[in-house]
Amino acid sequence: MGTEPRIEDRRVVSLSDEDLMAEAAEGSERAFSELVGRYRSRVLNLVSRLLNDREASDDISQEVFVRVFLHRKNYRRGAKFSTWLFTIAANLAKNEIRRRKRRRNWSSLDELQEQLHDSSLQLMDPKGNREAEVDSQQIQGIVGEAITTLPERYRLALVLRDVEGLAYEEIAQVLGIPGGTVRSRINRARLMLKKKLEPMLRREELT
Amino acid sequence: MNCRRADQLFSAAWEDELTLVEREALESHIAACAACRVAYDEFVRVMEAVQGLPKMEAGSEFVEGVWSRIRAVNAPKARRVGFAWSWQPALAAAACLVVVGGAIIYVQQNHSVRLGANPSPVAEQKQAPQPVAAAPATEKQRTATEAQRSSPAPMKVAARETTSPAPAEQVASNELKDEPANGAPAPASQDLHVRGGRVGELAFAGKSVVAAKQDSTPPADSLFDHSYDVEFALDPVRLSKSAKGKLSPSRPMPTEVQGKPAKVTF
Repeated sequence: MGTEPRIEDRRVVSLSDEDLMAEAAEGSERAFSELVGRYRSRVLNLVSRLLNDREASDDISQEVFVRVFLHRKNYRRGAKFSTWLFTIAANLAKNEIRRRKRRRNWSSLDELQEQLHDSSLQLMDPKGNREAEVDSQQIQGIVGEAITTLPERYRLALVLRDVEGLAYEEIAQVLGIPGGTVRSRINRARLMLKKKLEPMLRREELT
Repeated sequence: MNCRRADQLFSAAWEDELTLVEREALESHIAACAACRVAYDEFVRVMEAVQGLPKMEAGSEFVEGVWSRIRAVNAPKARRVGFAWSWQPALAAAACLVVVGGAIIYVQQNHSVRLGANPSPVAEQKQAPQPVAAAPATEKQRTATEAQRSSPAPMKVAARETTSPAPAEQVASNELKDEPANGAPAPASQDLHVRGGRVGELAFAGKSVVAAKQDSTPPADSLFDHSYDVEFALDPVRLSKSAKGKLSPSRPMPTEVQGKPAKVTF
């Protein structure tokens, strides 16, 4: 009696993403749960880096899988599951970015720029206190904020490539743009990010 | 290579996507340009910072959270279906009532063309001239019909001529009177030519009535608005009776029959 679930678990764990999705489309809750378990952190990471808001990212990430479940019968067997999943995640994150931008309930890009600049300047310490060390967590915070100041299309391309590690071709499918445009946006995003972080980088050089 | 071009190659260099020529050119430039050397160094550190960001980990409750949302999405639909179905039958019933009510009113108005009291349908056909469907006529008959129509004295047709009891005011207001056009004697009512026997008489448009003014309100079953005269052409039809007793106009119409204009004045 108790061995049956374990046998089923082992069987499900050994299936590919596409096979699991096919079984989920047939109604297998176990298969869908396995998929959620496999990708929950990656989706959360992607959404968090796009929004820099952990609480909202939890909600949106769960919503991503709800959409996957509701549209499970629309999944085409030949397509790579992770691409489909990240497409949904990117779209939901995009919607949230635009919603926040319209609502102006959070710092505008200009205000964020100022905050970022202030944070970097604080790290620089005009008095030249070279004994102050740049905390790694502070750096992570500053970098995370800097990413959210990038325009939406550059932000998406940068996070998918440099945070999630997706291939150019997969990013092109997720965003629905040509491969050349993906490279161009990633390049531009990186240079923009570098420029935003220059004050922090200069501070680090002083230590 | 200039500094601007070198800047554009930083990303490709990081991805290791430079051609051999490009790489050698970039390396040469960086070696010679301190500003680009610093810039490339900063670029690399940004990339290391971004790619070194800690990965977010979803908690163990994440999967259950997803299932809770799915159940929440499905559950309200059942309530909505119940709610939707609770008012749809009522709406459908109301729509049916409106349609049926309109049909009843329309039928009642159609039956109220009796132009007065309420005779039986057979009595109406026997005794009163009735506007009926136009019958095909020969060219000569049409010409004569048009001539009559253009006569200066339009003929008037009674609403009905009946012997059945009727409100006094309606009887007074409706009188049949022969008023032939152009002084010609009015044709008498003709028997209908029917197959299988006579059905009844139908008075033609040759008969007219002078309708007295009606002071009272128009009868409830009248088809017409009594504030206006009604002009129409009366064309007789030949009614044929089927084996089951059903009456229907027969085609073609007798060529000797022609329609005449008529006017009803209330």
